[in-house]
Amino acid sequence: VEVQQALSGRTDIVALAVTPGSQAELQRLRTERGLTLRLLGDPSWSLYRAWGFPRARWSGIWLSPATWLAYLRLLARGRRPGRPTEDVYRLGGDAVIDASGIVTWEYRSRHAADRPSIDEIVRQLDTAAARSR
Amino acid sequence: VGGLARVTSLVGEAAPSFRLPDADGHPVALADVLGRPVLLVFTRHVH
Repeated sequence: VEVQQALSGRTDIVALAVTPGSQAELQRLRTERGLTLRLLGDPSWSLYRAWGFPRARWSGIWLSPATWLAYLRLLARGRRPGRPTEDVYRLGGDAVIDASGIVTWEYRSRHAADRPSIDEIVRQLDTAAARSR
Repeated sequence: VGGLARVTSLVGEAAPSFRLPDADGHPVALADVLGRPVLLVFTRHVH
């Protein structure tokens, strides 16, 4: 949501959010969160693996406050957390690809709650956009 | 999805190709969106 807000109105870039969800889960996410960011489903985690995002340690997931916060949010919305997907230990990240398809920046999360700052994402996108002009 | 599993940085290299469905079931390929810089956000959660 924060990324979406920061990039609102930008037509010089394309922003895609990859999630391990099914199409039904993507639709639910879009509705519940009011997302306009384009969501792509990767239930087999194949693109995550292609990028080589690492797998977290057991403690990096189950002892992470972010994990339990997510579960608490689910419970607060009256939902029971579902069974973990096949590769629950796989971490995510962020990447910027320039207009020609070359990776110009990537951020590999070190634990479940580790994300780059929005400012850093915008700065990297601005740099890639400037090179494309 | 192209490419083998990696553990090293991809910066400076061609991004792994992909073709994944969006929330409406429409396939989106990397090749379709190039021409502008692309931000990929890899989330862990679907909740």
